[in-house]
Amino acid sequence: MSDNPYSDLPERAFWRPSISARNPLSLVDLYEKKFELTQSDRIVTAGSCFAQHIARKLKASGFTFCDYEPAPPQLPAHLHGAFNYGVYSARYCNIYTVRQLLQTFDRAYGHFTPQEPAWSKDGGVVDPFRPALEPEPFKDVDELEVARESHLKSVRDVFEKSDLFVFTMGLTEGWVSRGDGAVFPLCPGTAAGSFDPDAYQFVNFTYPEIHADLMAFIERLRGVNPGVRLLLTVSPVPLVATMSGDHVLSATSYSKSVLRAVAGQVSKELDFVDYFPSYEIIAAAPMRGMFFEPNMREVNPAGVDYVMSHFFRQHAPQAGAPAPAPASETPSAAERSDVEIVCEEMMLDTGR
Amino acid sequence: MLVILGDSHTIALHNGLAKLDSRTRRAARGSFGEVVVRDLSHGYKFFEPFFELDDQGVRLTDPRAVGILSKLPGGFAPITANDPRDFLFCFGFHPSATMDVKRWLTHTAARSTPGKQYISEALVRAAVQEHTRPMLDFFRLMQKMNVRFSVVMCCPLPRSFITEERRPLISEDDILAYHQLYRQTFAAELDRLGVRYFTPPESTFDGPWLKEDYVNRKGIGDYHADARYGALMLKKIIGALTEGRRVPPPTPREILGGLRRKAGRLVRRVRGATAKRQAG
Repeated sequence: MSDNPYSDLPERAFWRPSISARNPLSLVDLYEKKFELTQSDRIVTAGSCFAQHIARKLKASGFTFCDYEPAPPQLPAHLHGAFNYGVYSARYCNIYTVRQLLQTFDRAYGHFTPQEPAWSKDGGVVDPFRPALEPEPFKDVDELEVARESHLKSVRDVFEKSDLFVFTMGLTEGWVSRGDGAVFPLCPGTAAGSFDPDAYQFVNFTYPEIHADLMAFIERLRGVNPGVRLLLTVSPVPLVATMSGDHVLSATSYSKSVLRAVAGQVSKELDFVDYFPSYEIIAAAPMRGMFFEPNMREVNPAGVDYVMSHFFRQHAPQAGAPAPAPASETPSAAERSDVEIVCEEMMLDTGR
Repeated sequence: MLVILGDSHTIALHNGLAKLDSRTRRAARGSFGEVVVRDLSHGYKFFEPFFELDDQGVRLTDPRAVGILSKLPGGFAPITANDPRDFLFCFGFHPSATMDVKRWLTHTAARSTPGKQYISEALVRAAVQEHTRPMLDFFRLMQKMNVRFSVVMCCPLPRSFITEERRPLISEDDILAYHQLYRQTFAAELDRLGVRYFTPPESTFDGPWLKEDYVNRKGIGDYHADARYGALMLKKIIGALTEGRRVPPPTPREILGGLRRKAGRLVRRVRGATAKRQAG
C-alpha cells in the first residue's frame, strides 16, 4: 500500500479498530486532554442537567471542586439537593442555553438588569431566572431580591476564583422576554408565573448566535479572570419537549448537533478551551443506547461512570488512571438516589 | 400531679416554683395536687431520638434524664395511655445547637446582613422541621396515647447573648432572625398538631428580647432566665390550665405563713424608718 495521509494516523482515527472491533465498554482514547489539570486547580461547573453528574464525580475524585454558595451548616445533608446546594458551584440552577450563561455573567456584574418581575407561586414569589431554586417560594419580592443579591455575589466568585470553568451545553431552544431579551431557563407558566404570548417568545438559537454568545462570555470571563481555562461538554440528555415544530427526535438531533459544532469550533479556536466528548460517549451509535434509562432520556449511573472514566484517564485524580467502568449493572436504590439530578426541564413533561 | 419536664430552661421554672404567689400555689394544688419540675438534659439531647415506647409505656432514654427521674420520690413511671398525670414539656422552642454561633459565620437568615450568604425563610422552616422531628414525634405519640400535656416556650433571647466575643461573628439581626423564625416554625408545627403551648409573659419582653432584669446572671452571654421569670411563666401557665376551676382556700399553715411575711415586711419598714431618723 502506498503512503497516504492516513498511513501514519493512530488507531483512534479509524472506525474499525477503535470501534467495530471493540466492546463498546472498552473503547479507548476517546478523549485527549488539551491541557494539564492539577489536583489544586479550582474547578467550577455550570450548565445543563448532565453537568451535575460531572460536578459530583469531580468532587468524589479528589479534584478541587469549588462551591462558592455552599449549604448552610444547619441544613441537613439530605435536603441540600432540594434547595439546589452542592449541585453546581453556585445556586444558579440549570443553565440550559449559552445566552442564559452570558446573561448570568452580565447580571452578576450589573451589566444587565432584566425587567422581568418576580413570578407568583403558591402565595409567594420565585425568581424567573431560578424558578425551581427551592421547594417553596420566597415570602415576598424583598426576600427574593436579598437572596438574588447574595447569590450573584457567589456567582462573581465562581467566575473570578476558578482555574477551570466546566460548562455543559444543553439546549438551543428557550424562551425570552420580548421586552429586553432576558432568557428564562423554563417557559413562563410551567414551574411558576403565567404565560403571556405578548410578553414572551420562543427562540431556537442558531449556530452563529450561540458561537457569538459563547465567545462573548469567554471574553468577559477572561476579563475578570485572565488565567481561567474552559472545558466544554454537550449534554447527551434529549429534549423533554420541543417548540420548534419538528418531531422531538429531530429537534434533539438538531439542537445537539448545533451545540456540538459550536463547542468543537470554539475549542479549535482557543487554546485554553477544551472539549470533552461526554455527548458522544453516551449517545453515539456504538453505545447502542445502553447508557440511557428505559425512557431513553435520562442517563443511567453506569453511563456517567463510563463517561467520567474517560475523563479521569486523562486527568487522573491520583497516581494511576482508573480503568473504564465495568459493564452496566442495575444500580441499587441508594446509587440511584445518589445520581438523582435536578432537572427543571422535566417540568415541561408534567402530565404527559 | 403536674409534671414539668424539659431542657435547661426548665430550671427557671423549677426555681420559680418557690416564688409563686399564694393564690397560684393554691390553684395548682387544687387542680393538680403536686407540681414536680425537673430539668432532664441539655437542649440538644431532644433533637436526637430521646424516647422509646414499650409494653409499659413511653420512657425517656437519655441516661441523665433517666437518672434524674429515678430520684423522684417514688420514681417515675413510664407515660401510659390515658396517663392520670398532667404534663408540661419545656423543650422544642429552644434552638439549642442550631443557633450555635459557629453555625452562623457564613450564612444568615437576616435580610440586612450583606456580608453573609442569605438563607431563605423557607429553608429555615425546612431545617427546623427536620431538626425538631424527634420532639414532634414525641408530641404526636402523646396525643395518640391521649396524654394530657402542653408545651412551654422557653424565655425570649436576652440581648446580652451577643457578648463582645460574639459580636464580631454574629449580629443582633443575624441571631434574632434565626431565633424568631425557629420559634415561629416550631409554633406552627404545634398549631398544626393541635398542641397547646404557652408563650412568655408579655411583661418579660423588651421588644423582641428578654428584659435584662430576668436574665440568669450565672454566665456571660447566658441564654437562660432567672427564678422571677420562672415564677411569672408558671403563674401564666397555671392560671391558664386552671381557668374556671375552683381555687381552694388557704390552709391554716398558708395563712400563718402569709401573716409572718407581712409582719416581716412591717418590721423591716419600721427599722428602716428608724435608722433614717437616727441618721438625720
